[in-house]
Formats: sequence, structure tokens, C-alpha cells
Amino acid sequence: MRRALPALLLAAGCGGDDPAGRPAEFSYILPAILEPTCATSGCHSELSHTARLVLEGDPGVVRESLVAKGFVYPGEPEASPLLYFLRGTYVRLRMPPDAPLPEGDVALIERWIAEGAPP
Amino acid sequence: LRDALWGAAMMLLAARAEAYPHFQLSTGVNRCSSCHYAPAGGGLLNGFGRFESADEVSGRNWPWRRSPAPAGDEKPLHGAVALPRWLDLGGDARLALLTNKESDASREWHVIPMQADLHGRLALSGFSLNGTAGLRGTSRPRDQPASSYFVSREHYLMWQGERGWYARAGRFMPPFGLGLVDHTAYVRRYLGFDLLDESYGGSAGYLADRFELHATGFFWNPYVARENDERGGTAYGEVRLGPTAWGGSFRFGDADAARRVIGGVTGKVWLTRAHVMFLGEGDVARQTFHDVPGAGRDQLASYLGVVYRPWRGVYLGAAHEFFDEDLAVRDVERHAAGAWLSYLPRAHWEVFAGGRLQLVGPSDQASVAMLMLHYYP
Repeated sequence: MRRALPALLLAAGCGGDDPAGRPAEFSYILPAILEPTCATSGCHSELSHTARLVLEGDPGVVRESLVAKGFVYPGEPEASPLLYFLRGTYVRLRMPPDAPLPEGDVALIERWIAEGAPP
Repeated sequence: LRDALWGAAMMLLAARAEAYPHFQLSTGVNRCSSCHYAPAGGGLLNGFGRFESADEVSGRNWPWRRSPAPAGDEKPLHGAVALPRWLDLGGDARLALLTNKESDASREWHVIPMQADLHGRLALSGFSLNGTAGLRGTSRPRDQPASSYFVSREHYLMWQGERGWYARAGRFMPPFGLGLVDHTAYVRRYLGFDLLDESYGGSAGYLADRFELHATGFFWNPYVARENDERGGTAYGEVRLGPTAWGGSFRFGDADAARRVIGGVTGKVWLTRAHVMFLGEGDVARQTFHDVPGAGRDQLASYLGVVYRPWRGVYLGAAHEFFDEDLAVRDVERHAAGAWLSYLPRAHWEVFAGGRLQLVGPSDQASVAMLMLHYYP
């Protein structure tokens, strides 16, 4: 099934090599990855801010919030709970709960944290 | 009266008013606006739509109490109150039992009040005031402010001429693509048409039997952070040739954080003898990020579905979806395959059961199954 599904699709095989050229900056990660998948109206949006966590808006403010609330430890990806939630390790509920982020996106977030979580 | 009481109970229990795109053509009706007040369909049913809901769309009768005559209670509020010509009322309540599971994570179970909206329309000589108000749905209401549950997804002033022209101003979802009910469909969720993505703006268009055109400008969504709140416009055109409909969509949106341009095509083919509809949508998007010079990505989203109507009131569907968030990056694409049954025993009621499997990247997956009761008074 897993191998057959892509063949059913017109666009199958469109993904190219990851050039690792995506910027490990929060000004990119927030609007490109976190906001479309996590800040849906009923979850981590300004409207709902589930668990008092907002993942949309000014990148500087959201970054500070992630650090202040202990989700991100700059320079320490192995200690950052944000990655636990995104990979489903040590937590009951993997995030986002309806479908995980692609590992390529999580890896980019991990690289961002490892590089000191720059704005 | 019993139906009305059940409906009232559901409205109390539950939290976008939609129509199903497969009702177009398959019910013998060419355009969505034949049954809905909204020019591109969805939301409150008009008188003909009410009649069709009982006569053509639904099975007319409960399975345990069949009679040859239509149920005859398709009128607003089950006919309990006679509404004046200038007023129309309706609603949507959806209550779902849902279970989902991600890769190695434990399975979740939810009872979700998905929707509880009241719709109203005041009309006077070509002008109408249309609005919805209700409760948004949520599955994990952890530390969410109570005030955030009360929402009005749409409210707008509309003018409709007798020759097919219309214009409206207010808050509404701009016509684009297939207009699927399921907000989790990739062509909705990832392209700016998710739940509560309605913006304030203005729209104008032309509706004819063989084609329709819609152009919308939008500038403000109060439910979205300012940095992500796009200002822009959409255009949608559709041509109907026999039992087929073909459309083209365009959307431009610019926010503080990013700019996005989307173009897409849609198609519906109804095979009358086989009672089967094929429908599909394909969209390409180009997104650039203002704060990161040189950063940009190309995206692709598609939906390909088939719907079988074995007999009146019963619809069986299956679909495949695809979304690639960045065509230049390997292993970030998503596939979804789903199947569903929609049973409409009689006007005002629908029972929906469905499942969907998502494959995310090379190694992750997520599945969901849902049983939903839908009531529209």
C-alpha cells in the first residue's frame, strides 16, 4: 500500500533531492512549517492557543515564548521538549496529533535548535 | 415535532456550512447556487434546495418506516413555524465520534462537537443580509479561552440581479477549487481554506446556466495573527458541458511573513448510467518569505475522488490526496487515501462514516476513522 499509493498519483515522484538549502532560521521555520501545521484555528492559533501555546505571529515573540516555556533549549536539541513532541518520544501525544510532520521538517527544526535557535 | 426536538438537542450538544460538491450534476442540478443562497454554494438552502433535499438527495424515509410519499418536512424548522418571505433560517450541527492514531503513538478517541451554527437571511428586493453564528468545534479543549468558541464564520451583505450578476461585501469564504466539505483535505488545509479561514472582503460574479465567474478581494481575518493574515484576491471560473463541470482557480495572498500565489484546475464528470462521479482538483503554489531573502518554495496539492450513488440517499466515496510542501526537498510529501459512506435517510439528517490513511514522508503515517451525525434544521 505504502509503495503503491504514490504510483496512483499524478504528481508522484515530484520531490527532488533535499539541497539542505532551507534556512535554519525561525523567520522561515515558523511561517513555512509550524504555522501551517500547528496554528490551525482549533489548536495553537492566536484564537485558541491550546495549552497556552501560540505558534503563529511575530517570529521573535513566538521564539521567545518557546524558549521561556522550556520547549526549546538553544544549542541543546537533545534536551528540547519541542522535538520530543514532534517525534513522539517521551510524550503521550505526538504533535501534531492528526498527522506528524515529515522527518525532513523535524530535522530542520533540530538543526535550528542545534545552531542556537537563531531568530 | 420529534425530529425538531432531536435537532434542538443536537444543536445544544454540538459547534462551516457546506454542501457536498458531488450533489452538483448528480442530482440533475447544474449549479450549486440553484440550491443555496450563496452564489458559489454552501450554507443556507433556498426553497428549491429544501425541496431537493427531500425529493432528490435524501432517501425520503427512515429505513424502518417506509412510505411511497416524500416526507414533506423539508421546510425550515420542519415546517413548525411559517417564515415570512423576507426571512429564512437554518443551521448545521455535526457531532462526531472519532479515533486517530499516528505511527507508534497510542490511539486517541474523541467525541467532538464539530459544529453548531445557526444561519439566517434577511432579504429585500435584490438585497440580502446573510450570516452564521455558532460554536466552533474542538477536539482537545485544553486551556482554550471560552470566548474563542463563539464564532461567526460568515456574514455579508449581498446584491443579486435578475440577470445573473451579484456582488457581496463582508466575511465569507471565497469561491476556489472544488469547495470540499472536509477542511482537512490537503487542497483546503494547506492552501488557505482551512476552518475559520474566511476573510473580510468584497466579491462580484456572474452566474449562468452553462458557466459562472467569481472574483474576490480579501483583506482581514480577525481569527489569524496579523503576520499571517493575507491580503489578496481569488478568481474562480467554471464551465459546464453536459454532465461535466470544468473550473480554473487563482489565488494571490500577501502577508507580513510570506507571499503566496496559487493556480489550479478542477473537474467533475458524472456518469449518469453508472451513477458514478469522478472529481478532481490540482493546484500549484509559489510561496516566498519576506524576512528570509531568497527563500521560497513551490508546492503541489491534488485531490482525486470518485463517488458512487447506488440509490437515493446513499453515497459512497473514495479519494486520494497529495501534498508536497516543497518540491525541491525530498521526503516531505504527504499522501492520503480515504473512503466514506454518506447516508441521508430523509431531509434534515445525515449519517457519515469514513476513514483516512495518511503517509507522511518516507516513514510516518496517521489514520483516522469517524462516525458523524449531521443535522440541518
